[in-house]
Amino acid sequence: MAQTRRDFLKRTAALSAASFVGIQLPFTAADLARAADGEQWHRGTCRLCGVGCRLELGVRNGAPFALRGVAEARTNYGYLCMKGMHFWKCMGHPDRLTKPLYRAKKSEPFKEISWDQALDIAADRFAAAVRDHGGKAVAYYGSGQCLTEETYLFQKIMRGGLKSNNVEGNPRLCMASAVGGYLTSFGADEPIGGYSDLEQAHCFFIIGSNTAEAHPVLFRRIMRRKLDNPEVKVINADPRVSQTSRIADKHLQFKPGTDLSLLNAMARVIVDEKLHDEKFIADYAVFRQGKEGKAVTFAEYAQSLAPYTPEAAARTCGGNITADDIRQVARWVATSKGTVSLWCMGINQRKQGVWANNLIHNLHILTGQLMKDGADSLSLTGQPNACGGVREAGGLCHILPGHRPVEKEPMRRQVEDAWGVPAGRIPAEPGLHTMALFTAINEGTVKAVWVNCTSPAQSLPNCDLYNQGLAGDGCFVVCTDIFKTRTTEYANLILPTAFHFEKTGVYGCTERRSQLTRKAVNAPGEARPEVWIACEWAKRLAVKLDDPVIAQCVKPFEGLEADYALPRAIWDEYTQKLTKGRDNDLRGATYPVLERMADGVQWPAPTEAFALTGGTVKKFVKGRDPMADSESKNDLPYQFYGPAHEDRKLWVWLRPQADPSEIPDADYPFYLSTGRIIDHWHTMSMTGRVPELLRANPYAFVEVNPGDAAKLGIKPGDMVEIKSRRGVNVLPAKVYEGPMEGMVFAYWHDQEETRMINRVTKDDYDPASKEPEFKICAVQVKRVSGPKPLKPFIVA
Amino acid sequence: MGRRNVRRQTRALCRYLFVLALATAWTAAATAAEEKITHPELSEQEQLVACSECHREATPELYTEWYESLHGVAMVKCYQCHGTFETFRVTPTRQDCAVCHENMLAKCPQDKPCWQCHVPHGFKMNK
Repeated sequence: MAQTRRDFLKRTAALSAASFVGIQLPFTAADLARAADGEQWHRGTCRLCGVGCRLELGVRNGAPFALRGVAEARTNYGYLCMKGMHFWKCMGHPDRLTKPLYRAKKSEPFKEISWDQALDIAADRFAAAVRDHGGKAVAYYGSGQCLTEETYLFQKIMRGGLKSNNVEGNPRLCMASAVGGYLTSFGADEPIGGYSDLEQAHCFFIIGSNTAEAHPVLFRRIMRRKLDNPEVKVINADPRVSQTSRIADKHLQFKPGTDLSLLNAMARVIVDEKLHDEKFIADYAVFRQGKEGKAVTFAEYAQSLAPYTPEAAARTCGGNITADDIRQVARWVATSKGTVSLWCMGINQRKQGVWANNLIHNLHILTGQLMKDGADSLSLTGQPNACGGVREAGGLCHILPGHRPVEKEPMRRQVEDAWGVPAGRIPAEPGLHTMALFTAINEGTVKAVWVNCTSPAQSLPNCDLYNQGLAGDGCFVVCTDIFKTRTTEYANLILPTAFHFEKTGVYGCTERRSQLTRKAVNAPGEARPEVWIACEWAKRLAVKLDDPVIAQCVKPFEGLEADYALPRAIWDEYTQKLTKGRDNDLRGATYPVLERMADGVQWPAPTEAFALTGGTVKKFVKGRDPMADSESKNDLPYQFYGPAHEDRKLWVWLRPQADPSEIPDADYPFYLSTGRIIDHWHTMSMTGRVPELLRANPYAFVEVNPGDAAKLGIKPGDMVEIKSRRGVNVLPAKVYEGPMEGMVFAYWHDQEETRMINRVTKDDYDPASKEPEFKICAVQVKRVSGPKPLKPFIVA
Repeated sequence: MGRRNVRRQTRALCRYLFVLALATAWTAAATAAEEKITHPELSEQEQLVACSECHREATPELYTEWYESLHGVAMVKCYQCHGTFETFRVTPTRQDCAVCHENMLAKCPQDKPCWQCHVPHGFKMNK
């Protein structure tokens, strides 16, 4: 029976009043009891977003019962969001995968098999593909939620063992444009500053990020800074009004995709009003244009901004933007005592993602809002270990561990030497990036793929297209995971893995900080840590392919127990051999050091002594960054020694406005954007199994602007069809602003097939970063019916 | 079944349930000293509505107080302190606060619950 909300509220209002009347609960001293007998608290990092909150898992009689924050940690200072508070409930969940499952054909049901059989099958099928078609026919698709040790080990086996650079991960879908932006603007990946800048900032420019819901504990720090210092300015730029907008002095709403104009117009104001820092520019910056990065002068750069007057940009942007707003925010950004910009998927998941990143960095380079405390361009990383594992330890098809481009022969030689494998073992060409990989699976050229800790069947844009290939028997699919997902539905082999706190390893968060989580409880059933699985797989591959070099890849780890000694040895090899002398030098961040830290270590940290202080708070600053001192080439206080800029300069890029891949037209008149909300994480396989979180948001909703809702006859709770050229969803509506007029916003947390919004999104991608444009496509919006009683859906 | 029919039947059912629930609630209130206070009983479908959705209208002053507080801006939601239906507690314990504020438990008076000084739902200090 479907009640209207109004009926329901009338019914329960009386109940609430009655329940509260005259009740005085007796307060007992029993509540004061802390640390009861048998309770232990184990320190680690949160399993969810890229903030890197430190917390402790409470364990009683071998079973987890709570999580609480670590007050001394410099990421979260003790605070947790609801996901960090509740993820322990995944650990003993009845749905946990506990045994290997196998089926030869995807139309057959799964059978439970032994680990011995499972590892043999995995090795057999990968060996067959390599034998018949070479390393190009196999692939590993990992995750920004894998431990660094896992990512590092798998990519070593793939590259050094199977001679395949088809190593990718889901950070391609979220952070690749940020990587591209940092490399092309600063010459080095990852932020120059970090979270400590938040408490010293005087201006926050938050663009393309709903920090309040996507990085809640960082938002808390910004909120606190603003509340304690009302003169601090907060600018929120987002086509959608979000919970982040609550603390904004100015909220700029612009048509999706027009932010390039906004950012260029801000730069124009800065140059016109002479708010740029001439000395900083003269000392540290150059100007670049076009695909080849042709050098141009400051005058030519200024000239390129000619079309971006505030008036013209306001017209392009539409929304609520006025020319005066653009001037105001540009002045705030330029003249504050310290400006921190923060952004996330609104900027990265774009056809022009790298350009949008460059334009934000431009504002900081032009104004010298860098290097000093309280000033930084801080890209917010979505996942807990996209930085540490995938970006730093060689988890993308074109980079080797230690930020080494695979195309450079000396880089390959260095890695081969460190691994003790013959020269030439690592292929010279990058492998397939994510979208190319799943296209190759469709085309039948990739015969075996290992999917680790991620669910591309749901998380890829235009997912129906790529699920065709995954569904076919032409590609052998192995999934390592803790629960069944939309992706395990396409697997031949499902291997049950240990979850967070059931294994030991490092996560590296947004601010270059590596933090250790140690095993605290046993994994259920026969679930095993991925590092054990990978070693066993590699040994069998070596036999089946009669290739001892594959065995060589895991030989240093032979016989080590899997809970601690094995991950520690992997971490030691990676940090001591592969990060030595690189810009992410982590040699000081040994396990013994990490275990002593309340939080962790920010790289570069070449020595243990320096690592114990916490590592490098600000990169490139002499006296604060040991590599700025050791790599110093002149007397200037800042040394930009990053691997990508031989000239050691910051590059201001000329980037014009360019349209998104697909914008509204007569046939598909609405913008569709998608995103996360605070209670859930990604495909909901974890958070959807926690009752508190599920009930807070049981399915995907579509937010419809009240103006549009009125025209379309849509009321709150109505079922609404969202249809693109690729697919269709039917979602319950929330009517509020929310999105601007002409735009709808759908949450992507839902496994139910009529509510999986990636069936509708577009898979075009940034030509440089290969990151897809999840954030913008064109749809039709139509009311289908009144409210319906919906059921949450989680793959069983 | 016609829509008007459905509505009439729904209203009748609601009225019946209302009376039943009211009776249950009064009974619950009378025995509060001995029994644990539970959230008024809701169907499975009704439980899939976020706390704030109903409480915005059912307990508007409380909702507004929370929404305007630090917890509201930081999106610390009802269920984080009060649990969900099966684990519902009207009055959170010190351990509930400890999830985020563990360092304060040692610094603050040991003989009081947190909420006596940090009065919900604004949580301003009550001196």
